Amino acid sequence: MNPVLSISDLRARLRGPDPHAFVIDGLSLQVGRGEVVALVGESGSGKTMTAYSVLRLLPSAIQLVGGEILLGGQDVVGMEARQLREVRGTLASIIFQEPMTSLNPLMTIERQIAEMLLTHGKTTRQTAPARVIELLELVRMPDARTRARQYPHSLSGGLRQRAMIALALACEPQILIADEPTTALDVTIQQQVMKLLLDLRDQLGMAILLITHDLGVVAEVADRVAVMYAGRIVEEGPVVDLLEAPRHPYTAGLLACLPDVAEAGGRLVEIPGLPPKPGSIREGCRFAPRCPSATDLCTRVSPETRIEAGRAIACHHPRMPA
Amino acid sequence: MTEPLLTIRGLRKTYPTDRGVLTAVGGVDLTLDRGETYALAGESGCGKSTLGKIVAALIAPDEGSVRFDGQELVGLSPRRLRPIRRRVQMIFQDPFSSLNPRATVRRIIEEPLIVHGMRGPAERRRAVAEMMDRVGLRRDAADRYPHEFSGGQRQRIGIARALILNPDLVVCDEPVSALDVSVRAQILNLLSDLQRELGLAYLFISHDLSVVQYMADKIAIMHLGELVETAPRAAFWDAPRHPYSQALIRARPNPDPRQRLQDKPILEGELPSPIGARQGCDFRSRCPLAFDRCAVEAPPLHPLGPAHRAACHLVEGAAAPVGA
Repeated sequence: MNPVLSISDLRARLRGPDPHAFVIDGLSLQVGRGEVVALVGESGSGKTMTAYSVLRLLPSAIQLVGGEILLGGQDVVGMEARQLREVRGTLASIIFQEPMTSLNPLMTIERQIAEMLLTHGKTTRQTAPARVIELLELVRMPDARTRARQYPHSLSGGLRQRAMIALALACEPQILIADEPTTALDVTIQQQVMKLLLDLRDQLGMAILLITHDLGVVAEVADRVAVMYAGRIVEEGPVVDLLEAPRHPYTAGLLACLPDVAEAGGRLVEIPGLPPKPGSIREGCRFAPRCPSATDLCTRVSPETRIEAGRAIACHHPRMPA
Repeated sequence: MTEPLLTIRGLRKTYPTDRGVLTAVGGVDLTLDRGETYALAGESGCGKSTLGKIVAALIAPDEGSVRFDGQELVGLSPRRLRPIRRRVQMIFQDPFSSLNPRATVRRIIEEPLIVHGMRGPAERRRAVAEMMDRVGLRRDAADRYPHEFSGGQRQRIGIARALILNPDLVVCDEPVSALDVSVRAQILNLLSDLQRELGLAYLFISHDLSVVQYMADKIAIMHLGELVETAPRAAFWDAPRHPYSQALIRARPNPDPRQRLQDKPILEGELPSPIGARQGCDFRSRCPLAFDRCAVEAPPLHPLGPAHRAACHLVEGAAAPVGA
């Protein structure tokens, strides 16, 4: 079956004098129908820029310079503005950490969702109000009829998130890109919102590309995980395999430094140093300066991605399979 | 028995709003010993940061008492407060907005010494250099500005500034919440090392129970301005007694891929408003175990064991753990 989203050898770089300042450097990733794929990484890894490039929402300082992005079989990279407007919302939608990124503070919830539906010809003026309520009920907005007539500022953070999800789902996209959707929320509300997204996946069959730094959330919701470091996917695989037996030293390090796995009072495992800035490492593996397993080879030759038993690993010295 | 380092009794802080009085801290009692880490955990708006700022004497409470090393802080004149301020310092969540962007790292770290009129220029310079070594900043960083550093390095600068006066108590307000996981481990290790080396006590404010479990000797769970449970480490993690503590522990996402969200019970509903008068238990609208009495009567903190208290009608008389 064709994937909903297929990214091949994507490259994006910072505009400016340095031609090597890649923020995404040869990234390939597929998301199947109804699948929840988590793209995990620390700040600056390029995970958010990857998500933005799928809808061609990259900030002007960053330029796509190569690769292919197929959304429902259509190439997004070469699309004209008019076509892009068609695709956004209908093939793929995006939700953000901060709901006010997508919600207009000057419009009631009802009006924004109705406008979205009308723009894409998904409803008529007569049927719009009923469809809006239906969508708000779909995202389990308590007291949907009252909330529909309110402005975003009168809703709590969790309810705003629900309103944003309703807006994103209004045109029934095949894939929802969720960029740290629950990072700003309290744990109990975070659980409600993530559970809602999973229920909607089951109900509507849409895929979810979850952008997150939180391996706890990944463990709870993802089917498959791709770990990003310095613009590349360093390891990818099914969630249980990857988290229980990480093979890339970076994945292993990320898991080991969580306080959840430490003995109280014992020392946490550290990954020394910091992630590199785009363009600062030209040769070899970008993780080599921080890697406990790095050898001379690693500092000279960038590792190719190999696929072994459903796992993709870009490392010269991967840890042994479990 | 020596007096505890910090004793808080009946602490209240309210704020007037357009819609009524907001109770940020509603009657909190807490005791913190020398050299220990006491975590204050809860969801946003529960009042944990307000409580931290009262302890650091950055804001004044409406009522109640804060005794630090035997001396009452509430109502003290700024002049009398000054020597105590030196001994209670604070570390903030966002190391960027809490550092002066126009000052060099050296100036930021030595400023508390200048403000308190301590030591001459040469001695201050030496103290700053030693402190930079201690927190893992390279000495050549001294003449640079905060924006030249990563989040983790900036947090080290904030820690150095807090420790330069050799405090006894440091209020850490979400010190690692803005940091990436790999850097978070470095900063948590640093805080632990410094505590051991310098005998510091931490009032450690965090919404992240994984960090709390790793760091804290004692834990207080706050909900809508009140403590609902306080407990030593082992008692809290082995047998949490308040349904809210139990729900928070369950809600914590942990990196075990065999514990899926779809199989977990989740807490429905939203927090009640902190504005206006409230009746009964504040948690009852979300509590799976609520019964009639919870709507009419607010439960007091019932003693359950050494330093273990929970504010739930179901633990009255120290019955078996509820819902455990």
